[in-house]
Amino acid sequence: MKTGGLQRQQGAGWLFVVPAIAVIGLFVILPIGMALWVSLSDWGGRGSPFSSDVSFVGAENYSSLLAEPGLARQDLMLSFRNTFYYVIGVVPVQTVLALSLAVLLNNKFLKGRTFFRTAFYFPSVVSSVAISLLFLFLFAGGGAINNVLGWFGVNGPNWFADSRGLIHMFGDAVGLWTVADPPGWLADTPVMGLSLWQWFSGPSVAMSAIMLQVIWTTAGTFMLMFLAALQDLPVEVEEAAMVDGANKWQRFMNVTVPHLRPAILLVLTLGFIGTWQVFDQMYVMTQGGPAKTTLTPAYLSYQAAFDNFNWGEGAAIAFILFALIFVLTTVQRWLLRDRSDDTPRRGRRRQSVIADTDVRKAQA
Amino acid sequence: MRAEGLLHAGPAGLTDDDIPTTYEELATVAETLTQGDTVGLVLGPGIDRLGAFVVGNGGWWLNDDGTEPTGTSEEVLAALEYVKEHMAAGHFAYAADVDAGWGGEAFGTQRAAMTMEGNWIKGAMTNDYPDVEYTVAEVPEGPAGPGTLLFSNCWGIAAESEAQAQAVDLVNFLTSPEQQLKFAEAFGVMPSRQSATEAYTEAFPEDAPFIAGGEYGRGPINAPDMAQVTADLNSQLEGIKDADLQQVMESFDTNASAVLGQ
Repeated sequence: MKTGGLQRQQGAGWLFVVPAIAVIGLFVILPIGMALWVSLSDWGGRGSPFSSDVSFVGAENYSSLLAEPGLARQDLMLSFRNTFYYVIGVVPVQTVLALSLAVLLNNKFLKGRTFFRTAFYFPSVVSSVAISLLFLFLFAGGGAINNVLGWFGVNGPNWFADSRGLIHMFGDAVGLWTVADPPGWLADTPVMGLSLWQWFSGPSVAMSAIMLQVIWTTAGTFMLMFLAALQDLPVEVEEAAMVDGANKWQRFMNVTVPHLRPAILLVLTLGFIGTWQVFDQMYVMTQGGPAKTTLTPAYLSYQAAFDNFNWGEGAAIAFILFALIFVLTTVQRWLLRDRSDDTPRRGRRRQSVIADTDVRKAQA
Repeated sequence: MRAEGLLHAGPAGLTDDDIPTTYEELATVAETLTQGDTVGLVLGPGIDRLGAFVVGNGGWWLNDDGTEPTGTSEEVLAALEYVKEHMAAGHFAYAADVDAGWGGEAFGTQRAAMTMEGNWIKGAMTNDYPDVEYTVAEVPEGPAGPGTLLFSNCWGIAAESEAQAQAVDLVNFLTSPEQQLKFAEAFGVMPSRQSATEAYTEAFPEDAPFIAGGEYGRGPINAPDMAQVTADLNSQLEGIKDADLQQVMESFDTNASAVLGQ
């Protein structure tokens, strides 16, 4: 009787998940399997990738991207370099900005809260293509940004045509080196197809303009996540901290931030994944230029497949990017793991004490 | 077929005699015309414009058979050095430096006093900038004689098409001299057949400098898989002002050899 019921339940359970499995299998697992095959083949985009004209080339696509010196590896490394600086620039700033905006908007006594909430969230709802076009105009050589800079006597760069790296320019400005004649030990030491000088260029001026745009756009989305988490923060805990004599900054650092830990972890993870995959902005605004300084792995993968009809290479880039994101996200989660098992945090302990007393009260 | 010519919008005080006919004159005139927001000569980036100077210097990116790159040859380096020198001095510039997408836009918005484009620029000037007056001249002669570039529009036939034979017939018809002249009237493309040249020059005398380029111009690099190599060279030439040209062309040679050797 009992086992029969269990079997029936299991059968019903499988019945309920079959639609989901079918949809995920058809639209996620199967395409990923096909892409994996393409990345190991020499498919040129014509006809079926499973036809007999397409041959298996093993890891050739991967080795030309990672192991053999040449244009393919150089471009992939350039795209990694560009995106690395992009991620380093965007993720911390967008997280801090989103958190600050959320804390500001969580203030009950702030006037026009709904207005600000809508205003800050607005860029996230607008199509990224529309925003990209807007920024193209704003950052044009004779555009609004440079006009405003002109009021302060600053001669703004021609943003999207400027391939100079920020670290290069900074070093030039403080007299570490001259960009036109880089120091030999940097320029003549190649690592994975790029010279050290190229690796340490920093984001180009064009890339920085894109970074500003992305920070502005995504801060609103993440603000909303922080806002939701903040509204979960029990008022009593904050009041207790106030009674303990904690000032505003201490309350923020020792009560709010620990409470937001899961939200911060979520925002950082989503931020890392999203920024490594950046594509729209490059597609609309720069097509990887100027001088390949806004080339990103996602755009390179698109270019390899759709422009150069090298679908195997395009798919291989996508898998390499996946592996990179997977490793980096794992490392990041490990670095930011909850260490409360070793050293219980004050807030958590207090909450569990409260819970204990509640249970005892209920039992009594 | 489309050839590049030099477009020249002379301000008051300049006469036909001032139209540059050599590279030295081009540089001097560009320097004179660089005033305020206007740059003397504005070029589109990359080898599709700078290549004209390479031809004028008597060189080319590849050897005559297209089997080996010649990027580090004296002629190529001299041509690029010439452009680099005048870009650094500020009387040559790329279109993006003057907020334009291509030479024609820079010329139309009068941020460029001269530009180098093919005859497709005529349509843009009539449609978008009807008030700008200009003259067309042949690209100035280089140390090794006249040099310009030729471009073609191509007909493609689908490999998987069921009506391939009919498609070939259609293309044959469309490329007949009479049809090419019709295209010239409708879209302003120059006929690619020499048999149509005379009729074309008669119908469009103002295009004579472009047609003249057909005699000595060079076509694009069309070896298979070279697209990525030239794209990389173009992206490196975007930073020509600070570039180490020897190094740039060495990397072109390496990349091109890898592709051409296949």
